[in-house]
Amino acid sequence: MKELEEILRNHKDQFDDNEPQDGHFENFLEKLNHQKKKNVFESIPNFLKVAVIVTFVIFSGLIGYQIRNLEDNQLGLGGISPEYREVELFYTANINSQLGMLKKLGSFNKEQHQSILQEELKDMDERYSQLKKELELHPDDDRIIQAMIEYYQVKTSILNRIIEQLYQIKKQTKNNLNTAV
Amino acid sequence: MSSSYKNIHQDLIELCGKNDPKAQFKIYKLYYKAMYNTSLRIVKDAREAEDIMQEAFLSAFRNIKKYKGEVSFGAWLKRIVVNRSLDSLKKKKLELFPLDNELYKLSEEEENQSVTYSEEQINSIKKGIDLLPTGYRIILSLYLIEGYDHEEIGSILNITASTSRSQFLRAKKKLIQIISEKENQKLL
Repeated sequence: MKELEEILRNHKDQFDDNEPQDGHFENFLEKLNHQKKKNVFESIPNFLKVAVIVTFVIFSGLIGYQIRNLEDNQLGLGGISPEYREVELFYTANINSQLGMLKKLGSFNKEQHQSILQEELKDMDERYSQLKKELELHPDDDRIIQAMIEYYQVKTSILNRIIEQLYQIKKQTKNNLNTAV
Repeated sequence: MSSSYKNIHQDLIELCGKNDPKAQFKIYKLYYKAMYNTSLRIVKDAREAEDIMQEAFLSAFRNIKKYKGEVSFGAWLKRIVVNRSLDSLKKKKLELFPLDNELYKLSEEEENQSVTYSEEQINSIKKGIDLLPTGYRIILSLYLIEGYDHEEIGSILNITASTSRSQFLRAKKKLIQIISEKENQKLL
């Protein structure tokens, strides 16, 4: 009994006589190199990885936002031709100044009236964005272009009328006050 | 107990920790054969043993900071090889100890039979070990060839030291039985 143990223990080295397949050295070198490449990434500190990801997200967000803006411009009236672009610029500048005037005049005294105006303007804008979508589908349809121009015309004329009337009301109340004094 | 084991290739091992591929390959050349055979004795599959052995090296290099020098580098590496080889067996759902005690009841006669050393005898022992059931084969080679004691084998195989001891004794009896049967066949 003891002898079997002794034989085995004394000749351990003879039990390690198997060799792996030919080419196992190359195989292992390949694995070592592969490992190295992986280690390069793993050795980057975590906070750096986070920083890289954060900047990537911010940049892609910014770029995405800019691309969307570009697309919006292209799809509108101004995207058709430089002439239409000028027309659009004229109207948008006009509308912006009218909206500015509305604010200066203090617009309506009553909240209710104010919200009605906002709602109407929103409705109109929605119609315009619908037109934009249709223009995308039928870029050559003159009726859509015409409708877009009309939208701008209607919007400015409505704003114009509101401003005029507000102006009149202000004038009247001033006169009233003057006569009262 | 000395807290730091001085290895013969300490300088090489330190270079491995610095991810020096040349040093890592040198270490591989020094240890691959022993590690390959250790794995082969457990999994009994040449391709798998090679794979396990190489992955064990890579894992050792990755985790070399965990090597505190309490044992020799070779012993530390061998433990990784052994654990990975056993994991691979477990993945195949090979039960290591379903062994029925009755099945391997051995006669007194065979127990007393002695084995004497000769070049030829070593070969028949090798063949005999190959014929052992998986659980016996593993315990016997962990104890006699890899040189672990029963406490260590217990923690490796997740069994008690006394189970390891009794399973080893059964494995040894079985091995002697196999060897003597072979010899009898030769004589006939």
